[in-house]
Amino acid sequence: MALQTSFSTLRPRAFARTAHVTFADAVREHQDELFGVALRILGDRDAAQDATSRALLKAFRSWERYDQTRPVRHWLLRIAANEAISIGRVRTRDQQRSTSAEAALETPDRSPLPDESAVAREERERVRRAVAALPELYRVPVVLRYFSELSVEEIAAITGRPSSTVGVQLLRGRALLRSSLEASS
Amino acid sequence: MTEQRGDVIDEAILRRALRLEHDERAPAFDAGAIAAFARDAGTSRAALAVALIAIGLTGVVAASVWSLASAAAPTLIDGLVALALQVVVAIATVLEPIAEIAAEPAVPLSLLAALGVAILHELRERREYAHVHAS
Repeated sequence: MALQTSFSTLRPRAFARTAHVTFADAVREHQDELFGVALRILGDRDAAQDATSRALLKAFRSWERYDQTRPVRHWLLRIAANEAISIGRVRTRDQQRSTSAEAALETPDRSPLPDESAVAREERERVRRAVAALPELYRVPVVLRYFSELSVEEIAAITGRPSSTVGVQLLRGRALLRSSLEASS
Repeated sequence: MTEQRGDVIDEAILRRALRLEHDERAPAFDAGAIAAFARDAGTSRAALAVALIAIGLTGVVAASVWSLASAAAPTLIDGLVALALQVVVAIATVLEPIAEIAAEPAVPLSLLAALGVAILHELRERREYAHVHAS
């Protein structure tokens, strides 16, 4: 595939006069966060990369229709979260069909770790796995709140849920995480 | 809301855990490649649309030509239809007696079949006899 496209051509004509953010700028500025959100929702690097690529492709196709008076970050996060959830659903269906042998291979190694930092890392990994295993209703608000550091109102705007609902879902998600981690320790 | 504050995981622990580790950094996503891919996919969709439009236009043109021909040369069309009908009638004239015989044979078809088998058997026997005496 020829990649001769210059970044100047990525500025949609409709916003050439009014907007300062080009698609290339948005990708550069937000790709780490989009990938991080997808990674924390899915718990898998390859799937997160796939979700981010798809989200950016969708964003490019809708760029000219996007209302640039709204924060581009929130818009991109919504697309990325939705893509990650879609991919997660497909993976869940595939995993349910596959044999349990693969799941056995993914069983966390419970052997003692050599030093304190490794223990801390293992602890963080446990929390991340627990987050990735949350029901998606709670997973998305938790990731947007504690990874992207968005406010409850911002999460409500992204997910299209009332702020009060998001608040309850965050609290419920944290309760589920605690019980899940206590059960696994 | 049934959860008490003490029943939930600490926010600081959650933030620390969700932060990207050094080896988890995002790969570089190429805006140019994404744009090129989107354009390629758009091109294939456009090609499909063009093909569908072309098929539709071909149908319209064919119908128009037929209508024009019917309007401009009705005798020619009538002649062609009449000729086709004559051919169909001629074929039917030949086929009809054959079909009647097959449906109501004067001699049972099983008898004719048995005769045919007997003739074939006899011919084969003679051929084998001639072959033996020739060698």
